[in-house]
Amino acid sequence: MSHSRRIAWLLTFLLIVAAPLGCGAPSTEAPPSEDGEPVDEETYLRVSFSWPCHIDPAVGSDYASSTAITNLYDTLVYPTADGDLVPHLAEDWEISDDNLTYTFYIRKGVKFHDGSELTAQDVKFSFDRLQAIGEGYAYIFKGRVDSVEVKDTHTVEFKLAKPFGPLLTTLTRLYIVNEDLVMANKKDGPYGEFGDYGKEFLNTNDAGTGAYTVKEFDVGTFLLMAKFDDYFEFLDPLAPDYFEMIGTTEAVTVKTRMMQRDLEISDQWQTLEAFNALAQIDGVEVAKWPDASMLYLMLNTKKPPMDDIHVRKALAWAFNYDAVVNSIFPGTEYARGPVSSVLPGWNPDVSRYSFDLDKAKAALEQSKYYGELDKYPIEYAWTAEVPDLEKIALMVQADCQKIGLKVDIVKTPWMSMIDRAASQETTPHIASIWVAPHYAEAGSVLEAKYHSANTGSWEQTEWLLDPEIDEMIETAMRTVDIDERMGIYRDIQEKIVELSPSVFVYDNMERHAYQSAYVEWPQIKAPIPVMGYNFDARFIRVDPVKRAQLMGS
Amino acid sequence: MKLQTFIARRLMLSIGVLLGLSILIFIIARVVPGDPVRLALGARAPQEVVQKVSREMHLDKPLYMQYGIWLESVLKGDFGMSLYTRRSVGHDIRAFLPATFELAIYAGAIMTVFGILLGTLSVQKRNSWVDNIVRIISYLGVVTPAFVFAVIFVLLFGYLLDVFPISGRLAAGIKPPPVITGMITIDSLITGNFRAFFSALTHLLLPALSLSMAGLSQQARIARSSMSDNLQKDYILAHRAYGIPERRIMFKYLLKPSLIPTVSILGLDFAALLSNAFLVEMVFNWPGLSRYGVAAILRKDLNAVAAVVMILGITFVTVNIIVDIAVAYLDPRIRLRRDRTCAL
Repeated sequence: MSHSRRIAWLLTFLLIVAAPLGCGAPSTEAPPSEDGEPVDEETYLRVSFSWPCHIDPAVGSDYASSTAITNLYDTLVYPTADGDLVPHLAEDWEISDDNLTYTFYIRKGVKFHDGSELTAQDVKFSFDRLQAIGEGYAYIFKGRVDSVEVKDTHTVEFKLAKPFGPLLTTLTRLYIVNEDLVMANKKDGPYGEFGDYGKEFLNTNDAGTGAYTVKEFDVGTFLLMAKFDDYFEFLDPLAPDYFEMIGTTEAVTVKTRMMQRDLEISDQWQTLEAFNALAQIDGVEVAKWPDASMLYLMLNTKKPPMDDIHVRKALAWAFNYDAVVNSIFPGTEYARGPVSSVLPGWNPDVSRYSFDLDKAKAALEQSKYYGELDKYPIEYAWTAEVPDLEKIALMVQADCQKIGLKVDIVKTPWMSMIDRAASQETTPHIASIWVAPHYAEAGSVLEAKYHSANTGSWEQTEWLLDPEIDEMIETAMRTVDIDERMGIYRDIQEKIVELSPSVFVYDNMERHAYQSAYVEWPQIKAPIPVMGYNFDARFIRVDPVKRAQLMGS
Repeated sequence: MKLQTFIARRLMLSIGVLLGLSILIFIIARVVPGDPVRLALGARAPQEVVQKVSREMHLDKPLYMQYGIWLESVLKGDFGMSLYTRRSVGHDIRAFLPATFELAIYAGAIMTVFGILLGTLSVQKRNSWVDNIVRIISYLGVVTPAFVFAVIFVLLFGYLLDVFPISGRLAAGIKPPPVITGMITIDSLITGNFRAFFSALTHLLLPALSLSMAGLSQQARIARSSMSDNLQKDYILAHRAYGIPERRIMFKYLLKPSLIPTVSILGLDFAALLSNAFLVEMVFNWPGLSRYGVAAILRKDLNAVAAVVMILGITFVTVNIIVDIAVAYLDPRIRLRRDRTCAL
């Protein structure tokens, strides 16, 4: 071997061996200062999420997106744990006598991240932009808010098409963007004078007032947000300097990073076994709270024999609730009625079904199909992407057989389920589907699931089409007085339990492992029932001293 | 056949292959059930918005027209918009491809260098315990999927020993170098940012090693087998008879001709690196094209799926042309044989 070749081999070897020694493990790396040198005092909050993440408030609406947007932008009102609302960007508001005009008085001196001041015009622009693009949370306001008008620099009016009681609640999804910054960065696009409405720009940048601002966004893998020191509202002194959302749910990666103290909070999609393993790590605990979504067995009330209320009631009595919450989806809570128990307007007094095959048989005997039920096989479609749902289907099949109901199980991909839900004829007798509220009120679920206008969607494969229920829901939606509205919600739930169009399986519990030794996460003690708000990082405290102590030990 | 003619013929054939691939992937991506726009915008998106986006993506037109429009755009360098990232697919490719290339290049380098080294060592120590260990490791390397190595390496080097990072391309505190090639190790070297270079290198090591294990094992096995065969050839025996030192025979006269089979399968191994990269990228949260491609398939992101498949196809074809040319250059008999076949 020649001399030069030997040197080349040696260099290659040294490079590979010396590389890890060159900079050590990254878990202890501090965030960068302006000159790129690490600064020890700065803190991180790193959370794993299921990806993708869309940070444009007119585009994103899933979990990761809602979390990012809530940290980057602000809304007129802010939701509280008890389902109430407090002033946020709006200092105060008035509602006209006809309940069709809401006037908001915008707080003065609120700064966008570029230093300019937020005005009423930005609120109008944000609403118009959301409606024009039509994606994200636009559907919540569609057909309800006619227009938004600017009265003066700090006053803005929302004109409604018809009275809509939950308007204030829905405004927790109207995030305010900086008009000047967006328009300065618009490209050619389909929205006339607004070009692309800044969609390309806001895909990777923010134009908000939020407690955090985009520092770096690699759309495939992570979003790094930095604290905005001029934030107008409460910002805990120990709130992390950086909030990094990491696009992975890979169990090995999550566990190793938690061990290395390189991840503060895990995603919610880990298996029960993975959560148990994470809880074994010193200084790590698993937090859980009801996330307001529920699993339903939706019964097609227009298809024989499900068109008979007695058959539906028999099915509700024949369902083994214990087996599901204890064995198939352990850690969840019994459902108590058609809406989650954490939603304002939930009725705690509705009667509940329990697993009782004798009552199921008795209900079936009252059915007009009794004696010829073998002629009416029941098709049970479970969503192929969630294998655990098959376990429930098999359980229902076995128990139904004991009372004389024949159940055929069909594995159905989610996209096919959406297609099948489009008509009464193609909708299966039973579909097991989770539904989450669009906004934090019982009315959101009740309207989506049981109002006739929403049939044909995967959220309502019951095809209830009940004029009385429709009227009650519409009345509730028109009712601005909150107590009165909640009362109507409770009546609707009683009526729905009587009709038994669905089997209410369980209240879903959201779980996250977190570094309880150095992270103080106040929202888990009083969870806010609006997706994303429990990760508002300005309230979360990350203690660098406790972390260093833990690392040292 | 002249080398230029040989290259021209291979290029023409490759264009035909890529065109066929584009038609196939275009049809497959569109016949899979489910509305990609509805999937991307969410089940609650209003119907008119779904229709608007479908129109913008020409999904309301017949399949042959969609293909024509797509091909015309692609020839102009426009791959359309991604429903997954909501930006142009070309932009995504530029962002994600260098990460996968960087990973594949390092994995390829590890695979080639250590594969051949192990193969040579095995031949040198024929039938000793060293040879047996190398052979056992080679078998294990070939049959074990890359992601299993990835998980083992994460647990071993990330969790138990805690000496290597297991996620991303750079440590959180390091400023990335300005994008020149998109490959951080190269860009940081060009700009003299050694801190970023070493950080990127440590991040690369475990994923590249996981990815290279199968190819490395295969290369070791083929190098060993090829060298063992050549060891029995008359010219080697003659060298020995002349008293030429064993090391000189091994590295000067035996290694070079024995490398032809390993070079031949390099192209296939490189393609395998790109396709295996997906699970490795998932485990190490590596922002590469394979990870992007799988996310695109799961979300039926039509333009992204077509672009990723075409990019991988082009890479595969290009690497194989280079390998064919290299082999034809190294061994003129191959060209001559093809010449005779053509004459017939």
